[in-house]
Amino acid sequence: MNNRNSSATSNQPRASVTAFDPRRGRLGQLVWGRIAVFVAVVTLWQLAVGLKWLDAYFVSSPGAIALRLWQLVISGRLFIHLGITFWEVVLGFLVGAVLGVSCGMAMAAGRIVPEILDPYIMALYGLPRAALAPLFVVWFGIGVASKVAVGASIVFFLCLFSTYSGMRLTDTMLLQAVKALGATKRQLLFKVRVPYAMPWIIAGLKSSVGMALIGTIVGEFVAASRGIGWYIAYAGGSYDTTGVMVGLVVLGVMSVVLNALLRRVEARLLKWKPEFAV
Amino acid sequence: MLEIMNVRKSFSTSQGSFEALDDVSFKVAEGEFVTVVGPSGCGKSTLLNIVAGLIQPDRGQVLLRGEPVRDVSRATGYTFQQSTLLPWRTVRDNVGLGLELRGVPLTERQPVVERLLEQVGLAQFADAFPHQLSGGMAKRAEIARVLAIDPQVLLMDEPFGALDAQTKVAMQNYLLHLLQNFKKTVLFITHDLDEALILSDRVITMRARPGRIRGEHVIPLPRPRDARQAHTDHRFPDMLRAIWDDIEPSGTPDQVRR
Repeated sequence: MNNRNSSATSNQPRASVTAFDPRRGRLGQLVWGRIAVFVAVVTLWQLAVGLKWLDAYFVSSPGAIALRLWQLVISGRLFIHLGITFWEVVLGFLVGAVLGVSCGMAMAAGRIVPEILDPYIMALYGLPRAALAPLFVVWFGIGVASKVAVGASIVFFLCLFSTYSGMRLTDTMLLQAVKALGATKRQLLFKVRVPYAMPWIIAGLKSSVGMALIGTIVGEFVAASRGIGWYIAYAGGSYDTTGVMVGLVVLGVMSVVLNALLRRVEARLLKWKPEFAV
Repeated sequence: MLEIMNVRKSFSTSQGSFEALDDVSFKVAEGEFVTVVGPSGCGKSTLLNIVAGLIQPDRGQVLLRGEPVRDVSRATGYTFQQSTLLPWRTVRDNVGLGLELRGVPLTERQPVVERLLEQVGLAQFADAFPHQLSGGMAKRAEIARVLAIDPQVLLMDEPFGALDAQTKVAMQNYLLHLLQNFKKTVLFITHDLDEALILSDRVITMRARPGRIRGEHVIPLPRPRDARQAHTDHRFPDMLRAIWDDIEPSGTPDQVRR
């Protein structure tokens, strides 16, 4: 694209950058476009409820949601719930990702063991992990640990498969060339196969964030005394749609923030790919 | 320097087994540039893989300075037709890879790498990633990566096969020039007979199915050579015809049909 050869041409004067930076123009478009979408949706929603096109009992309204959110912020209750859920998501993600990526590497490095384990892994993978939540509550209690377990159990398989399949696809010519340079088996693994699989691993990690969030909320639905999931379940149980909507808004924001963080990690780890070159 | 002795290798495929190499023997002297030419399927690449120690022959052996090659040898450097630079490493880190694999500490390998980058004319591109390089630059980076481990023998498997005609001639000249400074023994593979004549001291011809040596031709062109001047030598057409006849006696050479 336009940044493809940027480092190769960086010693040339960058007259065009000072005159007009297309990237900056694009960024402005993005920001204003996003604000416009937000304003349009909120206005339409509020209007629809105000003009009685929609019943506020079922869909609440942006005004009521904002007010409730503000009350929760002032009372400090938002941060208690948000804090708990946030840590459950992050821990579930980290535990699942670390175990999943390392098991994926081990499987890709092995020959016969992965084939022996294959049907068992597929059986476990096929189980809806939400159905395991009650079991995890029995094993780990109603605290943080059971939610981390649900999140991690989903993330684990995603990372396992993305790592394993990425490493399996490693270009044999690269392996041969590096082997001819004198690499040991271990060096081939860590200096060729794992970096080669990095785009797949990152893709797995990116979808894992959302999955950790789902797992955590499911865990909180099943048994909890705090957290955003618990708040949503509690509000829903008392027909408080505004409360449910507040919970959903908070979860949405959290997912956007976590994804933005991960995209930074991605751009850093994959800066060697033309698509990410700066 | 390098002795290939009665090497045999067969591969089994779904269609049965085929003889990739059938009793192949020849020697390469110290500092000599020997090229193996032949149609595809004559076992050229298999031969190079055996010399590199990447695969083992069924029979026979390869001696490097009198020592049999049993595993990947530290004394050989191997370059391939496709780019095998690691795409996630900068040019600098790619060139330093061989030394890194041998456990040479960064402070010791850095001066070697910088000097080589200078010699292959890539000093300005040290921090570029492979996808930012042209085909010729990527080739030079690969040659630098192999030279960094200071091998006694260079094994080159159609290294310029994927380049456009103009870049190819430039790279041939570049290699001729480079070898005057580095004085390496080279075992080179190509199906481009012009290239074989321009670069080599000796050309070994092979035939396919089974892969056997057909003949050998000493190339009397003087050194230092230049790729463009070599073409105009009055002996060039006769040498070319002699090699063609070896590979495909009935007339149309493989190379022309492609």
